[in-house]
Amino acid sequence: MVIQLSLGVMSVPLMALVALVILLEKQWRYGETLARVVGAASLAGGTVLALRATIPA
Amino acid sequence: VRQVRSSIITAAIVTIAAWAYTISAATTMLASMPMPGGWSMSMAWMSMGHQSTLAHASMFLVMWTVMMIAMMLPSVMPAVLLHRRLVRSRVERGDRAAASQILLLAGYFSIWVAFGAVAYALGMTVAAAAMRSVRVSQLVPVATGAALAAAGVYQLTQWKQLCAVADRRWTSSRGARFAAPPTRGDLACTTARTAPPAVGG
Repeated sequence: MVIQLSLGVMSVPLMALVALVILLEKQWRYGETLARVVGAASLAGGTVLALRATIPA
Repeated sequence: VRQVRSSIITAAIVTIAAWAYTISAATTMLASMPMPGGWSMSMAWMSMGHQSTLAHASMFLVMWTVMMIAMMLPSVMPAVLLHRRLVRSRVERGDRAAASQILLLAGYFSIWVAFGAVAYALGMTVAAAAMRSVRVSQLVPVATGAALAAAGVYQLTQWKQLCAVADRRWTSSRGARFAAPPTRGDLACTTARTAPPAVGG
C-alpha cells in the first residue's frame, strides 16, 4: 500500500499495476517468488530514484 | 453446494468487472505534469476548474474502492464462504445468526474506503505542497524512492514470507484454518501486520 500511494502521486496507471501485483502475490502459485522479485526491484528502483533526485546531474 | 458455487461465480464476475473498470479508469488518467525535481505529477490529483472538492474526492474514492475490490475480493472470499458455513451450522443448531455476506463484505471494504480517504488526503496534501514549493517538489522523488526502498526491504524479510505462506495456506484451506490453532507463521504474520503495510497490504 505504501508503494501504491507513493507511485499513485506520480501515476494512476502505476497504482493500478501495483494492485495487480498484490493480487498475483496473494493468488498465484508463484506469489512468494513474485514477492521477492518485486521486493528486490522496489529496493533497487527506490534507491536509484532517491539517489538520482539527491545527486545533481 | 449450488449456493457456494453461485457465490464464487458472482465474486468472479464482480472481480472481472472491477478490473475492467480499474483498467479503463487508469488509462483515462495518463496525463501528467512535469515538476521541479525531475518527476511528473499525475493530473488525477488536480481537480478541474468546475469540479468541487467533494466531487473530486468522490471520483477518487470510487476508483480506489473498485480497485480494492478487484485486488482483494478473491483473497477475502474464503473467509466469506466460511462465515456462510458457520452461520448455517448455527442456524441448524437453532441459534440466531446474522447471515448477510453482503454486510460482511461491506464492513471489510468500508475499512479500505476509509484507508482511501486517508490516501486521498495525503495525496492531495503532497500535490498541493509540491505545486506551491519548488523545494517540496524536489523532495517528492527522494521520499518516493525512500518509501519504495523501505517497502522493498519489507518484501524481502522473513515476516513477509511467513505472511505469504500463511495467506496461501488460508486461501487453499477455504477458511478451514479458522477452526485450527494458529501456527508460528500465523502469529508472526499478525505481529508483522501491526507494522505499516508495504506491498502486500
